[in-house]
Amino acid sequence: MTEWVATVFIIVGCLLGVTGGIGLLRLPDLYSRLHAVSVTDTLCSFLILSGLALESGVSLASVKLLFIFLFLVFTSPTSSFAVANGAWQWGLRPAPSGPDTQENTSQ
Amino acid sequence: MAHKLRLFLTLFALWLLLSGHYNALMLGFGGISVAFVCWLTLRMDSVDKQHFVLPLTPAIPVYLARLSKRIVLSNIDVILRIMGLRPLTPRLVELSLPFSDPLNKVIYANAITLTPGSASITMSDNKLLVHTLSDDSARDLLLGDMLSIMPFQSTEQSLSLNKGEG
Repeated sequence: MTEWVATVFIIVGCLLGVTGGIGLLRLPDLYSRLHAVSVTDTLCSFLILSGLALESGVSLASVKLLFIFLFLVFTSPTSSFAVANGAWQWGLRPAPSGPDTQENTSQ
Repeated sequence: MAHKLRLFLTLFALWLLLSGHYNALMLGFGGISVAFVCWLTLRMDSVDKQHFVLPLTPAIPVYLARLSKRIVLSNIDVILRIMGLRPLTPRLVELSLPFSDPLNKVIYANAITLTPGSASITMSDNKLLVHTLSDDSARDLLLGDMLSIMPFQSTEQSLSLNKGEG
C-alpha cells in the first residue's frame, strides 16, 4: 500500500516537473516564467521527496530528504527573488499589461 | 550562554542525523567540528551584529499549515494556466507593508514568492512590488489574503488593513 502511494507521489511529482518545463517555454516573459519554475520548486519537489521518504520508511535517509526539502523551502524564494530583482534593476519590464504607472510608458 | 548551548546542541543533532556514525572516535570528531563551527558563528556574530530571534510559538505551525494549503491551491491554479485552461493575465501590484521590523517583511515577501503565481520583485521602505500571473491572485493579495496568515501580527495591523484596502 505504502509503495503504491509512494509511486503515485513520484509519478505526479515528475508530471509537475514536466509541466513546469512546459510553462517555462510557453509563458510570455521572464516574470511569468518565474511562476512556472516556482511550481517545480514547491509541489513537484515536495511530492518527489515525500514519495522517496515513504519508500525508505522511518530511517536516516528520510531525515536527509526532509533536510533537502527544508533547504529548498528556504533557498528557492531567495533565488527567485534574486532573478526577479536583478531583471527589474536591469530595466526589464513585464511585456503586455504592466503597472498603471509612468514607468510602463517610458519603457 | 543558553544561546551558545542551544546552538551547540542543535548543530550536534544535525551532525548526528546527517552522519549516522555512533562510535566514540566519530562522535569525538563531530564534537570538535561542531565546537569549531560554534566558535566561528559566535565570532561572526560580533562582526555583523544582526540578530533575528524567531520566537517558537504555536503560531508557527498554524502559519505553515495555512501557507502549505495556499501553496497547493495556487500550484493547481498555475498548472491550469500553463496548460491554457485558464487565461493568463499577468499584473504588477504594489502592496503596502504594515510592518516595521525586517523579520516580518522577509517572512511576508518570501511567503508571496513561495506561492506560485505571485513573486515579489523589489521592496522599498514600506512598499512591496509583486508580479502575479493572474488578476485573481493580484486581487487576493490586495485584499490581504497573505497578510491574514502572518504568524506575528498584532490586532491593530489587521484592523488597519481592513480599513485601508477593503
